[in-house]
Amino acid sequence: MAMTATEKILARASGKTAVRAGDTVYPDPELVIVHDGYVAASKAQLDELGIPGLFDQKRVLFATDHAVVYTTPQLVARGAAIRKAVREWGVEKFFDVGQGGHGHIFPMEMGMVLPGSFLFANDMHCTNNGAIGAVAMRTGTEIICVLATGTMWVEVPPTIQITLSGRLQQGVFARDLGYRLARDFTNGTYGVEWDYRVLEFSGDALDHLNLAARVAVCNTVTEIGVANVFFPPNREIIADAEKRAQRPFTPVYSDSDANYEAKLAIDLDRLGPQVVLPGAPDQATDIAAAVGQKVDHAFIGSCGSGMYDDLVVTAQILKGNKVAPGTRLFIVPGTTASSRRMVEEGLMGVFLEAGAIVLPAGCGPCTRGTMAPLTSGEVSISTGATNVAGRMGAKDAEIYLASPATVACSALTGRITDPREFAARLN
Amino acid sequence: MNNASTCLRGRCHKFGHEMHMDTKVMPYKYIALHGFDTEKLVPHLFEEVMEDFYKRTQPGDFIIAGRNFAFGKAHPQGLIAIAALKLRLLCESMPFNSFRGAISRGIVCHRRCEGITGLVNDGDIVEMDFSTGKFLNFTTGATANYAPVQGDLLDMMLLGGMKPMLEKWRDTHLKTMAPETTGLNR
Repeated sequence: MAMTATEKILARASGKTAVRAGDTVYPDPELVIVHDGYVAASKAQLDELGIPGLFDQKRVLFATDHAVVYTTPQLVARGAAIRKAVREWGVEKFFDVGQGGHGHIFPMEMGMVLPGSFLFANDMHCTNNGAIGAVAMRTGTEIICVLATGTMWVEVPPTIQITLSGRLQQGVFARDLGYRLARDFTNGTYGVEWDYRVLEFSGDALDHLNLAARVAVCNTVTEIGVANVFFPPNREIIADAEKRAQRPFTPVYSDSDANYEAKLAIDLDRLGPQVVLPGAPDQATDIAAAVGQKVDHAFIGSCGSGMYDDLVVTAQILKGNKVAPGTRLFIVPGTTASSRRMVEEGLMGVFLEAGAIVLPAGCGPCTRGTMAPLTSGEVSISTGATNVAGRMGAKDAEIYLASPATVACSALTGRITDPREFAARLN
Repeated sequence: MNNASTCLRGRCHKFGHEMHMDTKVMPYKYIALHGFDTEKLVPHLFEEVMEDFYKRTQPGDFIIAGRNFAFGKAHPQGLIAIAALKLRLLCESMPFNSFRGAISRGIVCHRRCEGITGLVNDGDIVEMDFSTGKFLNFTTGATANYAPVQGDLLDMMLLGGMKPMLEKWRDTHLKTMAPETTGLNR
């Protein structure tokens, strides 16, 4: 039976020869990723249920990305509770504060998530793993079921194929594509359902999208409620994964006659820079509608645009320039490895010379403003995962979303700025 | 009708299409104010649509809703209130994450009852066999055949959700697990 890549990965993980959209399966994960917001709560719930151990402590990874710098006594206490849980459960893949970085990035960078992998994770932005050709299913609070039993029920999602042609133009980045897709799904432009669908990309343009670009697309469409995003890994991504792989892997691809629920075609040549207006992540507009808006706060990085390539683009724009007076710019590398590389390759100096503030790897301000927050009435532009009211602190602050290049340019001028004005700086 | 344990009867409370999770199901201000405090959440269930809704219900009543029930961010508080009132749910469609949250909380529900809002009036007595998908409106005689709810999901709903399911799993599996996989040796 012809299958999509997601169906194949779920079938294999579930010990079945074939599955189809709508089937309920119980897949066996290669890895289970839980972030610091859920570890202590999961331990308390499983203790209360009288379930003392994990299904397999070798396949469980705890990331610390939401509260990397404890900013309240409660978060200090939570950190202690997490370390206690790690000891009692015997978790080996524990990445404490200052280690690893963002749990939606470093497992890929470290070769723990590979093309063809199946994993469970508590957090919805685990869709990032589709960038490398893996399938990660979000569990929410039901992660305790996976931690205890090793699995939980999964309905095999239908897949929509999106064929990309053309090439992102100068000043246009993968986040712009994701923002536009999110908008056009929810405003009905495509005329298809998107809830709990897999968006699978194909087409000649894919070879121009590296892992960082793929992560950005996965990240930007997630909040509208898709089940997953899947990029078939190309030679470059497989070769890179082979260098890092901590275990053998087999890339998985859809059959040419797989059953797609819908097929869409997008011409990248026609896409310009986007800005997402405050309130919801599907409110994208061409940047012209927002150019000139004053910004108090800017941030680049975290789960969606914290790959090293994103930081390189940012440095190209900031080099030799200063952040505008009255605007504060925070840079949040995705991983501690990227932080080290920023020092080794000179990016750190560029950022500091520009007057940017470099935060530790993790979520940065995008966790209700536990770090670098907004106050009432302020305006931010960022690469955050979402821009709902209160996401970075005050509920009446306004959050625009954009590509790393647009955010960097806007931080330099203090106003939302079209990155094509800085074209000479962009490769 | 059919299987006594999966065939459920109750009075229906009818709602329309597009019942937004954070406004019409449970206004977001109460989510922020009351967190997971079930007793404080219950009085606000559906209050934007029907004042004092919770006073009109009895355990076993059915919520009948149209398309896209509980859409938006899948905050659990509305579902927590529905579960606390022991209501069942039949809707024409609902986002997957809300559906999964409902199952997890032991709400017996069916999310693919196309056209059901056209088959009931508020207050009708209805019956649904979740294992066969057969629906009957006792008050009007209207019937419909929907897809059955898959057995293991239905089992979890009827058992009361994920936590009772985990308790059952614990009682049947834990004794047989090796110490090194349970953490019992630590």
